[in-house]
Amino acid sequence: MEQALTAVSVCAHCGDPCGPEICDQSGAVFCCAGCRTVYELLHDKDLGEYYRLGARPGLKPGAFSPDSSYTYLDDESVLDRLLDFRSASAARIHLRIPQMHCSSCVWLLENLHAFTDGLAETRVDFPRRTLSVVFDPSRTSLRQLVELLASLGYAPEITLKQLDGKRPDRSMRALYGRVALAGFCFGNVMLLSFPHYLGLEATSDPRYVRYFSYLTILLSLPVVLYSSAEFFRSAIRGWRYRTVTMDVPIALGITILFIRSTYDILALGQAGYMDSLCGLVFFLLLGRLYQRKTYAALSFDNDYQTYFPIAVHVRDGGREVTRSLDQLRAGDRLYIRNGELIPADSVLIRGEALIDYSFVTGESEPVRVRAGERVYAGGRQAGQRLELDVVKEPSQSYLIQLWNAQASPPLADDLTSLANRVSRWFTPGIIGLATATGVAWAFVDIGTAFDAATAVLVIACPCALALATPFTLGTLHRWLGRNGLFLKDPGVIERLADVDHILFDKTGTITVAGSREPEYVGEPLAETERTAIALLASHSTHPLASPLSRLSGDGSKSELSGFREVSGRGIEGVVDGRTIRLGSAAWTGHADEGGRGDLLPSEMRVYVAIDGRPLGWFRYTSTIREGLREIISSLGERYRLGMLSGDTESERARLAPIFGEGVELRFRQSPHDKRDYIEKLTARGAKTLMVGDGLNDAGALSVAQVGIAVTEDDAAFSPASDGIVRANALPRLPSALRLARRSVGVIKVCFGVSLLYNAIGLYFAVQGLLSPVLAAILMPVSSVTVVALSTVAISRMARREGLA
Amino acid sequence: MDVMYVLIGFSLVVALGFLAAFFWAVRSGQFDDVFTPAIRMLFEHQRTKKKEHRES
Repeated sequence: MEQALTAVSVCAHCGDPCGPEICDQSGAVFCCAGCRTVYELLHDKDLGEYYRLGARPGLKPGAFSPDSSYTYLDDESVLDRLLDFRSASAARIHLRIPQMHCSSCVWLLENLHAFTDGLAETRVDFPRRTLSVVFDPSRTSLRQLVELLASLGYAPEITLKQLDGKRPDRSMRALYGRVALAGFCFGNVMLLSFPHYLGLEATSDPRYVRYFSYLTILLSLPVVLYSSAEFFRSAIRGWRYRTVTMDVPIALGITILFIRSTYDILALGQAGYMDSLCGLVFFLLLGRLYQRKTYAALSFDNDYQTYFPIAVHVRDGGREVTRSLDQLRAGDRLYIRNGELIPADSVLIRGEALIDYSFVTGESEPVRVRAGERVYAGGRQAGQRLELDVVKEPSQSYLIQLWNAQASPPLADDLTSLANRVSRWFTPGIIGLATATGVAWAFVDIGTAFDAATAVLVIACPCALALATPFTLGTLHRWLGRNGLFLKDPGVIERLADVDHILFDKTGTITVAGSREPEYVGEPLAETERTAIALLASHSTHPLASPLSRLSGDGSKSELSGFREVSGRGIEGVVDGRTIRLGSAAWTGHADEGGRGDLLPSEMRVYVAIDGRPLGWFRYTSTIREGLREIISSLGERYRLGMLSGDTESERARLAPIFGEGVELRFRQSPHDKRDYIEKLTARGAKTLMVGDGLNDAGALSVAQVGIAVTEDDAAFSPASDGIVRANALPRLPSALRLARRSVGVIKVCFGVSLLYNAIGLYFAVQGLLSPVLAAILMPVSSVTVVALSTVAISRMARREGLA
Repeated sequence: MDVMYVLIGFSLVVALGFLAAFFWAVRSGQFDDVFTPAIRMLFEHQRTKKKEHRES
């Protein structure tokens, strides 16, 4: 049957195509009543500017029921823990609003005071997607503020983690300070070293030369004590755990440089190497700064706490009260309303439970639970209110323990890094060489022995070596981020480079559910009937309903009455005197899932009945994501592939040809099965990359060497992972993997270059001929060479791969 | 020529003043978000100028 799906016009608020039109007096068109409300509200407050600032700024306001959703924000104990600051006349809060996406959003959010009284200051931090609000608690409340935001489509993300008082990360400020100080001292020390560079110390007044030298000591002190503190701390920590990281030779080099130079200046009246010292620290810190590029708007460490409600309704002495989730204990009596998440493993006491576990298993079919049976945390109730007895605290629940499973101890990470592997032999190497030089010189001239030995340590300080990794990986990290592949930190690239086994999740990763327009099967529908169905569907928030609402031929002016929605079953309404039902087979009076025989793989259906007569159904098939065949065939050339799906085998026939011969396609995998399978592969020595999207993949993503979450929308929740990739950037995955492998090659070349410079310096140092000027030239030159080489090489490669 | 001691010391003090200014800027949060202010300055303040923007 043909699909009469022509987008009539686009919504004036959100820009989505509209079906049955909803107009306002000025003739603007909307896709739903929610959008119209926001539009009218904005114009009412003289904020129409919103629509002119950015393209498509509007957000569909989510369905929320003001009576219950945010009641917990009135709770004093919750308020105390959420607010940053609170007094009788002013309170301050930071809210995370992942939906903000353009300059219009910033403008509207900073003009919130047009809607309510009592907002003193609203400020947006766009990179972090946060809004900080100062309000007057006597004139407005946090709940009103949050409800206002939600009604405008900017529902803030209020999570349990915020209760723990997580303060924004300020470490970037400290790093700026350290870099600035090192740069300042570097410049001044160089100026003061000019007499030495130009060989003027012999001709000019020795008092000035000495004065300058003393000043350089003074200027180097803060560099050693403050700017390079991080290197010392990390070196000591590494030493304690018997892992020689790159910071060990750096800390050693800085110490020797400072002691040797101070001795030279104070005891011998010579120049010292203070300029090299400051320059070294400055360049190294620049490398750190470069590496610290973060995607603050994305959250890579989500766990159940980010997804779960912040507070729940429990019975306390016969009354229903709100209590924050972390105070929920086994034995509490819990109330769960329609659409709410079950926060802890519990036993059903009363109510008709229809639990949607799609959050954890990926299966969209809801499960019916009887009184006395177990309900697991993570399910969502559809239907009436439930009473539950909590069996386990949220953090002890069956599925949450899966998400909390930690992949690997953080230190193991350090060992995989190429730079740290190199430093394992580099450090003993230079210490050995310095000792050998000292001993050899001791036989010739005991005075030169100290000079030569320290000169070896000074020149071998692996500045360029330490810069190769941050600049190579940092550059690639930026390139990938610009192209929709966001990695948690540049270090992930190194782990990505030696992956040899790639596993995909099915639903949401390989296939896209509901992406295709619904197709009608059954007795033909008249045009008016289609319009009526579209009108009915436009009143539902169910994901399957919205494609139907665009079904109408022309925008007839029919009215809908008697709308009702029965969760888990379907919707009903009267249009032009005819009763229309959409929903499950039972709801519409079709023979119970009668046509299962001709059910296509992974097909979902919405049945239709008009005036109680079953007519047919709309079917939605999941489609294979665009470009995925190409990705898989190009990855298959180099990597072992596999697929882990929670669904039934029904799609094996469709997927097998895409993956080709000998690829393991595993169906009916529980979240635990997925994790266990990857752990088994890892135990066999495979280096796995898991690509998945749902929380049912959370365990697998965390145990894989690299776990990448696919997301349609940056603002949406994604499970903890090493990287987040936008669905439309998925075709670039093969390029990203290729670049990751090559970037390791670039690092190796840079290591070679920097070792070459070191060898040149060492040639002079072991002979006791290293002059401060030579050191002052050689060290920055080697650093600059490495930085230029790595950034240029990576940018060229990225461009050749077609990244922009 | 002894004035050299004073002059160099003085030049360092001036430079330190700028360094201190930078530290103050970092500490007061001016480098926390270098993106939003660039958008914000393009907005027209029609009826919204009742509050002065002020760094916290």
